[in-house]
Amino acid sequence: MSEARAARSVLMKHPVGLHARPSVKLTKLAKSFRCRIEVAQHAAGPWIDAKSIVKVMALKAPRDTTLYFRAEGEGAAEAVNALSALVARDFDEDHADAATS
Amino acid sequence: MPQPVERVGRPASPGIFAGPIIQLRGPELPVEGVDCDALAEGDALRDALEIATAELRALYDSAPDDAKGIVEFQLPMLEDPSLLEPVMERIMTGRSAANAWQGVLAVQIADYEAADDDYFRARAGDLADLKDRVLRLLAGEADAALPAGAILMGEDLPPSRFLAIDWSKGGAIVLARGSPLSHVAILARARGVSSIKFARTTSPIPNPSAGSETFPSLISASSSSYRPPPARARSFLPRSKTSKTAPV
Repeated sequence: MSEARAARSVLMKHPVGLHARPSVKLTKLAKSFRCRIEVAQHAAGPWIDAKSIVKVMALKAPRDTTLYFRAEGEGAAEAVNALSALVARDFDEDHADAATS
Repeated sequence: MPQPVERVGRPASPGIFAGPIIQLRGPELPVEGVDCDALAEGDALRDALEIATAELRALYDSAPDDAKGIVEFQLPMLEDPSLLEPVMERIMTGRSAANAWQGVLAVQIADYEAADDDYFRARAGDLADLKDRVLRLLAGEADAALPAGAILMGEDLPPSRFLAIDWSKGGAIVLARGSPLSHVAILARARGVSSIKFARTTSPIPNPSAGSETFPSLISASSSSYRPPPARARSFLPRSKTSKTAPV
């Protein structure tokens, strides 16, 4: 099997940005894939490990940030599609309680 | 008659409560260990992380929905290589597990404290919570639950310790640190627990003298004041009825 590569970007509309609960959801989803997945706030990087809650939270990405994903290895395309979809769905959050999560 | 002493702070959660004062203490700070046995310290860290994970899982299972997110955020930290690798590197240079953990977490906490955004700045408290839990375990301190129905007073109250308290008996919190966006402030508001933040620079946190810790005090977060027991007036006051006679 050849090493798959995939990349995709998505605009994040979450009102508080990439805060604790969205970061937990994002890293959990990333960890469900075996390929290496990285995320960045700019197309040029810096790229960080999308499976690390410490690194993802440290981005402190605010609202209206475009998130860039890239993956390499088994299921790379599925991974970037799934992660982009999670961000596009606004992390499946109810904004009424956004401040508590 | 001596007048009661009154201190004023910033309310983080409105409410009124009278009860005994319990002083909050942080974990003992690790001494700077050098030439430690790296293998033993590495094992000690792994054991502490394992117990911390079990404790947080138990807390997660018993936590109400609005609080699960807090624990949910701390749990993956405990298995994140980007946190654990630098700790292990420090242990390999002869530091104690406690010193290595404290040092690496302090860098992370400082990073959040420096954030422009209020929300991200408030997350420093969650990391400090995790730091303290593991330090307590490394020091062999039991995770003693704080008593119910009391005024908890100190520098800060970690959110996971808040969750372990039975608030059905009421209670109040008076802290020198934190923010209205902290997890403890949010949880306190949701549970009707009075909470006041003292700005350390303008009004230092009251330090009840030894022996007064079980004496009733009144906290009123609506008028954002805290009324400690007047130390010298104790014998003049009606038997343990101070809280009832204090103006509300």
